[in-house]
Amino acid sequence: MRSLLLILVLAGCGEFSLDTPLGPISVDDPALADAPGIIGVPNIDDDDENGVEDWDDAEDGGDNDIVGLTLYPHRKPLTLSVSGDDEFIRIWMDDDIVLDEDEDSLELSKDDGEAITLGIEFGDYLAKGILTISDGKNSLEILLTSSPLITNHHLQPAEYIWVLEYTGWGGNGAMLDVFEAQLGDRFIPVSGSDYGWDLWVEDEFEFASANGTDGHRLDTVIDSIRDRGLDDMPEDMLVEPDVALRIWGNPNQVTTYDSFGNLEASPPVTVDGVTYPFGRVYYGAVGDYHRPDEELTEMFASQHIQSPVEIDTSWLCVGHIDEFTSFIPDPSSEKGFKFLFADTVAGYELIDSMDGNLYLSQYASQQNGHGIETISEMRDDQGIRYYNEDIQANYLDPVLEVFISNFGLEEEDIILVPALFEEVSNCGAAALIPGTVNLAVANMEGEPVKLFIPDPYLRENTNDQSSDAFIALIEELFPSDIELFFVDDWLYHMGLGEVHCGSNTQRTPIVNWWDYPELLGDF
Amino acid sequence: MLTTLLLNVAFASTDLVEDIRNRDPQLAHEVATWEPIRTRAGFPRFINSPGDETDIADVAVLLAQRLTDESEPNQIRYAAAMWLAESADNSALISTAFSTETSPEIRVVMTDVFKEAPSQVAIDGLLTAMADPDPRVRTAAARIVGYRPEAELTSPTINQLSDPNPAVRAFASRALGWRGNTVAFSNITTLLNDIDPDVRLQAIIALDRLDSSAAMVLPEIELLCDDADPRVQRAAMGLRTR
Repeated sequence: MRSLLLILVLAGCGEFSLDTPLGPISVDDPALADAPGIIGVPNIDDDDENGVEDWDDAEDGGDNDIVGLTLYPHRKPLTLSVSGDDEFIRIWMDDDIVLDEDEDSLELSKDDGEAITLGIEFGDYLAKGILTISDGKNSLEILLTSSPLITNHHLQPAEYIWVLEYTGWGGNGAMLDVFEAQLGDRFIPVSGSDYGWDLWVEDEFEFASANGTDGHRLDTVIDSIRDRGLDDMPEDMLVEPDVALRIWGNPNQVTTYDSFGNLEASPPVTVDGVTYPFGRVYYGAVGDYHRPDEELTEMFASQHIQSPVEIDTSWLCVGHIDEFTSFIPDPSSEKGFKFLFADTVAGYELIDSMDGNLYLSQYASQQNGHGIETISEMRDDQGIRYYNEDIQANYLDPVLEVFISNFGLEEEDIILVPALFEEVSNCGAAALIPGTVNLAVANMEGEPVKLFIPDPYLRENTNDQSSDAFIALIEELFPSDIELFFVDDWLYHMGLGEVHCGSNTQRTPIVNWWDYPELLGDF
Repeated sequence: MLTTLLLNVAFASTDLVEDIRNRDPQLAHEVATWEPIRTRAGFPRFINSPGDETDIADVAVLLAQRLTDESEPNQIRYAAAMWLAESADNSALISTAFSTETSPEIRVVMTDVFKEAPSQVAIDGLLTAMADPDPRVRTAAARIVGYRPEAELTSPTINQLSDPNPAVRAFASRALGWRGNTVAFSNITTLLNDIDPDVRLQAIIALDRLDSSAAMVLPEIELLCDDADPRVQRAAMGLRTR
């Protein structure tokens, strides 16, 4: 990182100064000129809703994403120039662009000391540049930095949750009822018929944000290149002024790893002395083929602040990180979270302890279940047992080590959640018992944390959750001061997903990225 | 077995389909208009089921007709094959349809039925699948054999260890390990030098299952402790240091 700005003081005290949103900057008081300097959000939404992204909109529609500065020239003519990522930085004066990639220098001849209003506009996330102001005697270099793109994590307060309505036989009406009863108007159902009955709302887009001072917030919908039925939903329901949409990657080369159930961010963590106050991005990626589009992964790497971690998810049929991991809030713990990790040893410990004769009504059906009628049938299936032993030894155990070392986890941070997997036709592993960790976190401001968890149905009477030993164990394992709702997501389960895959959550951003210039890469 | 086979083949006959259409036109209409959802992995799947379990056999007949109807889109035929393959009751029917099925992707799905099928149907079906020209189908067969106990499948599975396709070799190793076929120990040992890391990994795991004491002292295992693939390295070291 640039540790010290070049400040040339050729004679006496400074002759000009600048008022910025974070405070004044002058030759005599240059502290705020240092990294990250003057900050803002990229102007890539469409504030005037004319269908043109504001950065590309010649008719600047009075948008709110330009950072205002006041320059006090103190009677001397000034020279201004911009360097660095100048293709993504512009300086405005009196409704005109005066500095950009084509105009690299500006002479200000006003010498009457009259204040000059400047505007700084950024055209991309984490654009970095230097504004140099010189009056011939004194020269001041001021860093310019736009907000990085910050992916939301589960400790940020939830604002809205979306789930697709799937009506008809075997639909998700019961699950929607629970969401609606618990979240009220913070729950937004999405019309299934409008979006081709594409259930997988999590997979189509990911919420992230860029932020400026004074609460300025630019939400960003990262639109996946998967482009199934829900493809138009972000444009139809989410994009508006102060909400931008961005796509990284080539839809013609899409794989399952480009869906955003395969993209998560951890809560704040400290790893080997390095603190990540916005957490770390993580996604399933291994080898040359089992990974998201390179354009997307390079973008995350370029943002630095949530330094990405790659996890092996190649053993799963769907291949998404949310199938066996999650972070949940734990208000009572020092770190504020627990890491949930699917564990087949715990899965077998549970079913080995249960009555073998217990009839599993929900699992019994061949076509809409797993063709397994009793606990003993499940636990005595040697093929399933070997399959889970192999997964545990070859993938889950090594992956847990990766999480521990890359997220600074300690034993007390981790909950090993009972899980069993089955093999899907030449595809890989999928949850046999509905994947508990594949849950939705609703932590609305001022309300208790609510988790919407797939009902495991490890019981005979499907209507009696109190008789379910799996649910009882989860209630024991999970933090006691959060509310658990076990919802019927069997529709999703049979489609190789669970609650998290079928929902998407908008969250309140954490805004003070500018307090951590050391996490923004080189200046 | 032959009786069951004939009954199942007859399931899909036009006469039977017509009979159901006359007897239960509502069910026939429903099944004819079933549309699959796309699973999260992207493949089509019928999530429908008749309200009355007694209708299951009729649904199987109607779906078998959709499966074998070449005018149906492949995604419908795929979903029909998957629905049928989930019940061993349909294994003989699928065995018959397997030989005329032109899509290897659908033959892969069909192979799943042999996981729970009656013994002779499973043996016959898996032997056919093992000889399939498409490596994806042979891979499916090698995968499913691991769930079967029949001795008749041991020798053909050992032969699969030398299949040109690495996925077949890997799943054949796994199958022999799961099945406890110690007779294959030396054959599997040769795969410790396989060019494909997945094959080497599955060979280590299989040998461990078959005879861990003998496997842990193999010189090849010691060499694999420095394998370029971290999964292979980990499995080899785990075996050596046990």
